Amino acid sequence: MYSTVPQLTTRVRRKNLWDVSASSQNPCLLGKIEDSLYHTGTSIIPYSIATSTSASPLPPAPCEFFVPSHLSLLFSSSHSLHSSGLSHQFRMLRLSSSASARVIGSSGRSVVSRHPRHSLKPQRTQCQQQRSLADTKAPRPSPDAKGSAKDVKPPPTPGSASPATPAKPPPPPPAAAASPHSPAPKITTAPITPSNTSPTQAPLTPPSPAKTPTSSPVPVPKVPPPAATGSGSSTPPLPPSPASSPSTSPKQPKKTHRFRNFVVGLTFLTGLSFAGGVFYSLKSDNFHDFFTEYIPFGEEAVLYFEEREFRRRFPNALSRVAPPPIDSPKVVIPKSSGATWKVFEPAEDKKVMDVGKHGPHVSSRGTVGQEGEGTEARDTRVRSEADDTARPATDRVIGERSLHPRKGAAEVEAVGKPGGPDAPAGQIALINMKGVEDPLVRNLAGVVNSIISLVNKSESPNVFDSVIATAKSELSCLNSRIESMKQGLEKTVKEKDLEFTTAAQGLLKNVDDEITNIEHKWREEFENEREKMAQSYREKLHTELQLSGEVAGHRLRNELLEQAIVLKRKWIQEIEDRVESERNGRLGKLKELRGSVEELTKLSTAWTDILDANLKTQQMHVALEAVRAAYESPEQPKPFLRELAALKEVADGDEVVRAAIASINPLAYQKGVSTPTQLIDRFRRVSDEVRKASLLPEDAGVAGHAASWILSKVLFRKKGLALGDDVESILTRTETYLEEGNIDNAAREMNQLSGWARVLAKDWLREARLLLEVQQAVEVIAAEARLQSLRVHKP
Amino acid sequence: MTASTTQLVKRKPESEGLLNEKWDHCLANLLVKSTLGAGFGIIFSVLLFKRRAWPAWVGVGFGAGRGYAECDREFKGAAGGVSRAVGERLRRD
Repeated sequence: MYSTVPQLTTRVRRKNLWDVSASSQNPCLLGKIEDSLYHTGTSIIPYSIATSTSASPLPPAPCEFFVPSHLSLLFSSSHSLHSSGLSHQFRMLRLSSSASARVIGSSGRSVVSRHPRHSLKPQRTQCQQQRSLADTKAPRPSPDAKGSAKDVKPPPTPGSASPATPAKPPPPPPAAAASPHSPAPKITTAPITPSNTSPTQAPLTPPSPAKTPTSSPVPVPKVPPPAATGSGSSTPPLPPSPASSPSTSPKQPKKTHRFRNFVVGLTFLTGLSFAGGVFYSLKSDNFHDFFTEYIPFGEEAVLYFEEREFRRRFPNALSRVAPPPIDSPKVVIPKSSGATWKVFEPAEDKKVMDVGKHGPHVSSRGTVGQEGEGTEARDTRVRSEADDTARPATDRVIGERSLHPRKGAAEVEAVGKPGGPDAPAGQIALINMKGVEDPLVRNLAGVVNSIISLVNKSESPNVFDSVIATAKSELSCLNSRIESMKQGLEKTVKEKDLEFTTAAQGLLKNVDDEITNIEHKWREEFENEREKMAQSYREKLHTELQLSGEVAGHRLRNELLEQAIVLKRKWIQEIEDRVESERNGRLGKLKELRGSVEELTKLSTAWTDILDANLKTQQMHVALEAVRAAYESPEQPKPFLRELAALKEVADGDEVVRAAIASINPLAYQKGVSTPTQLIDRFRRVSDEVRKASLLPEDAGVAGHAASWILSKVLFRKKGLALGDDVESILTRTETYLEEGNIDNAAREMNQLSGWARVLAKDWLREARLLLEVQQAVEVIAAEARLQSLRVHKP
Repeated sequence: MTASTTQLVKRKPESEGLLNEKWDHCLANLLVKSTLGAGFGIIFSVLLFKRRAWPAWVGVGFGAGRGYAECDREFKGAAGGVSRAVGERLRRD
């Protein structure tokens, strides 16, 4: 509602007709605006109103115009669907607007001017409009309308149009008005009404041209048409009101009807809407919530229908929930159940049962049957208890009553004549069972006794007297008969016993005789057998004795033979021994001779070995000498390969010799070795050169070499074994060693040189080394040869 | 081949003559270089410097310098890397 109003204002502005602003919400202001508009003579107001009433703010005017017509139709139906006050108001507004539009359309310009107001405020003053709608001609006079409009305005101002309930009342009337006129509101009616009201305006009202809202504002005369057109469909009902208000006053007599109609319509509408609400609330949950919350009695109604629906769907659902009540007595556990300190238990309600007793809670069967008995018994009991409260509680149990026939009887009588005295005369005496020993009879007696006691308890024990007396006599008869039978039986038993004993004695005698006879027979047989056995044993003994004697003779003979043999052997051995001793004395010398011969042969072989070895060593010595001569010969260097090969041959796989030869540099025996003299000679040359380079600095150039050469000439010569590491002293030492013939030491000294000096002395060093190697090897071989010669002598 | 190589090896100068040989080479080289330089100097002096004396001396100087440098290089590298350190190592062995 609120949104629609501002729209109205905007529309108005668009037309440049009025600046309504937000204040338009105020109904009074609106009214004023309308008034002013009316005064200006423009017919826009209806149109604007129509727009304002439109439920949807955006749709263009024409649409809105159409809407109302539909709404008017729909209203009846929609009313049933929507019960909310808001929707009501909406509809009301639309209807009213449409009505006003129609009015405007129908009425002339002058007429229209007043109606708009009606149409604007109809929401508040719906009654009038409804009336007008209903009559198709508004009967009220214009002043009336004005006044009402102005007066009524405040409550439902279109602008403020709050969702408050006040709006509600209005809806029904329009609905009521619309419903009857449902055909009327349509365009067809519209023309009719105008024509009725004012023929002059009829031409103007035609809705068809006015359908375009834009054109409506511009021409003054045309203004009404747009309104009419806008409301075209719906307006028709309205026009009558405006038209009638000014012109059709004669219809006023129907005013009474108006009120009645209004009330009826209202109630009808409310009912309808309520019904619709209920129906819709059954369909839509949201609406259901709303309806039940805000509409009075809504919840109950909805609930009722829901319940009905539920019942219809599940007819058995409720039966399950609440099973049919069983009219059996309530089972109550008495207060005193179990052990109690109380001796007395006051009577209680019949319906209350003792849990200990048989009842529905124990078994489902026989409850009813027992009921009667139980209650009866209880009745009696209760009464007797009233008399005798001191009786123990156990006596009250029904089953036990039979054990106390006396009291039971008393009770029975008490039942028969309440409050009456006891009557012991009527009782029947019990059977005395003390004399009876037979258990069967005793049981019988007990049974009879119980019967008697029962009878005693019954109301008329005397009736059974005769029967019980016969029973008693029969019982005694039975007893006596049983006794007699017992005695007869005992007699027969004794007789039989005697007979049996005599027969048994006879039998025993016979048996004894037979036994003695058999014994005699067996004894004789035994004697015979014994004799036979003894004889056979004797025979056996005899034979065995004979055999043993023979065996002993044989054994003695054997022993004699053995002794003879042993003696013979001894004799033979003695003879042999003597012969042997004689023989050994002569042949012993022969053996000694053989041993000496063997020794001799051994010695001879050993000597041959020694001779061989000697020969070998000699050959080795020779070869060695050859080698030595070869490398020491002055015509060196000369290869001495052959000599060495010969030496190796002679050595014949001697390890030491082979190793020594291997140690010699092959160059030595291939090209020969320089002699010591040659070495000395060469050293002289080498020493000169070395001295030249003795003063060279490291990495010396031409100048350094030249300087060293020149300066070396100036150096003093040393003599003997000079000390120091310088080249000069090393050279002098080597010289002296060489002079002494110690090539080994000389080579060691020269090996200490470094730099250019070493480079210059390299060749000489190599030569010296070769010689030394050969010398060493030859010495080793010589030592080996000597060793071998020594070894030969030992074995 | 082998025979020729062995012969070459045999003819290889003895170690004590190494330095002398180098000296011979150096001197010969020096002489040749200096004469060459002198010749170039003389030619230059005749052609360019109107028989002045100094170009000839300059040429001789160049030649001698060249010879000297070559000789020096030969001597310096000739130790065969047997420097003091190597000598010491050898001595230790």
